[in-house]
Amino acid sequence: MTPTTEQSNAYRPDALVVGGGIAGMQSALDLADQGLKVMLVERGPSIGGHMIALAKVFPTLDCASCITAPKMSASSHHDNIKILVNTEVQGIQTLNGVHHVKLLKKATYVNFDKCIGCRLCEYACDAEYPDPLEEGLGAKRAIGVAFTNAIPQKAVLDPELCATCGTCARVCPTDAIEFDQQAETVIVQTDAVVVASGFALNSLNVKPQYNAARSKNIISALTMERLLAPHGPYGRVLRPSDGKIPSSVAFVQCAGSRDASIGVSYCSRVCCMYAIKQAMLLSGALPIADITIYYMDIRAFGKGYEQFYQNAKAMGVNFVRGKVARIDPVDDGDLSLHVETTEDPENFLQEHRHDLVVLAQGMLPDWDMSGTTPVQRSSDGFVATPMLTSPTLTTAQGIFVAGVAAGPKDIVDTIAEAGAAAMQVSQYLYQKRSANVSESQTAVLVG
Amino acid sequence: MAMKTLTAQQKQALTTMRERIGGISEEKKQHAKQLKAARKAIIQMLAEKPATAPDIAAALNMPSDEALWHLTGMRKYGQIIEAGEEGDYLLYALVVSDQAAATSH
Repeated sequence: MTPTTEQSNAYRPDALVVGGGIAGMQSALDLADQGLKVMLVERGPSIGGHMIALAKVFPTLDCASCITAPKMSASSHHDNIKILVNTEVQGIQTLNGVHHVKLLKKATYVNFDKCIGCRLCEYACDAEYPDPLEEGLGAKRAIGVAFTNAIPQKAVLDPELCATCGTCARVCPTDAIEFDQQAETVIVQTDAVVVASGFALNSLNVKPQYNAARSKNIISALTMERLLAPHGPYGRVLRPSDGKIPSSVAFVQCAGSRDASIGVSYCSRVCCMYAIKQAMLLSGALPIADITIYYMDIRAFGKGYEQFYQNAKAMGVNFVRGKVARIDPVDDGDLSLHVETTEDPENFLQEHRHDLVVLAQGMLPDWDMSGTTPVQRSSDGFVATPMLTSPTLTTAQGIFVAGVAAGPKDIVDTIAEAGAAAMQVSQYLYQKRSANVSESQTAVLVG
Repeated sequence: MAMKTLTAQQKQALTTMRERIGGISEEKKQHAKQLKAARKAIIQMLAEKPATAPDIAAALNMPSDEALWHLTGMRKYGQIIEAGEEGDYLLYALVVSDQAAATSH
């Protein structure tokens, strides 16, 4: 077990933001621009969240990293924002209106003050493993910078993968490698907290009848995003089982949500639109491929979304209304989809063959804070927001929520809500501090 | 790439870290051994002519997805490049340059 040291942090931010994804960064920037000191805490080695890994966004088809990277850069250069990466929030305790946030700063085995991000350690490292940031398709080494445009551009050593050969320290030009670095537990005091802890997807294997465990060619939507991204693992769309350029791609909607049998009865709200977006991008990347979306109903509810859907149909994307009952791996790595459609009463049980299948998994909360924070969760596991008219207020005073931590939503709504959370925080801090000033003035007058 | 000698303090820290993570597991050793052997075999094969992931998988008797993963890693770290297509598959070729020499392991 890795030993830790515990200490109190002298830095006292006005607000602490949990999560360095798009919601966390937006809240942090909006607060910092108002002159408030913010601590942005991210569990991973870089800020940017899921969004920095996406190819493009709907319905504008703007490049996702072109939106995210400037916010990452602005956050890291802002005088009022202090970023902690590789740091987990272990609990929040509120005493007399002050939140005491317990942080675990994991050992990175690299002195960030010395590391210049040259990646010589990464190039010299011999230990190579599947990269979770590439959904396992790409390779990472035991030490290295998380990804090309990661912020901070600092190497991190993963002790689980390290062969302890010492080569990284031998090639490091600044002697930044510190094999004896230890994890630290730090208590930070702050007046407000914004929970922007984002989402995770449920497992590809949550529905055993889809047989994802038996085929490399049944992939998640996030894997498809990486395949479509220009900086993705293959640099183009290839089938993971053998590198074949796919000629027939299927999207199976509601494969992990709107299904009480797997405990996710709610709609994940973004799957229809990202499937349409990915289908349109695939039409460009693979002009002769057949692309089919199997759906129960298309939920295109935002501004410009319906037009986006119609454009996809006009581009030749095939929409089949029905439910995929079973997926069977067949020869050559292909997949046979057994579908019950509503479109042809004479032939409603159909079988279609594709060489790559994308499952629209359900969105789940990514941080179980029950028992460690005063924040309550709703029955679906997301942060409870009891006031319908104030969706960023939680059940705990001074703790706010933004983005998917409160429930599934798209990027547009996430950014809007993150801005709203920042305004709620600044209003809360103003009221709290005005009340404190008023109390102290009364005390002085009363004597 | 210039290699320095580890200081006594670094060697001690490395030993401490090795002990802290419970030594190098058999699984890690096997992985390192297989990785080295597979990469060497792929480099030898590509030195003769460009090949696809299924070609490499068949020649080296490994699953196609594993061959593709090796090629993906080698491409990322500058050892190979795409060299056209053969049917539905991409061909990969060895990079022979100072860059590859600097980044190869």
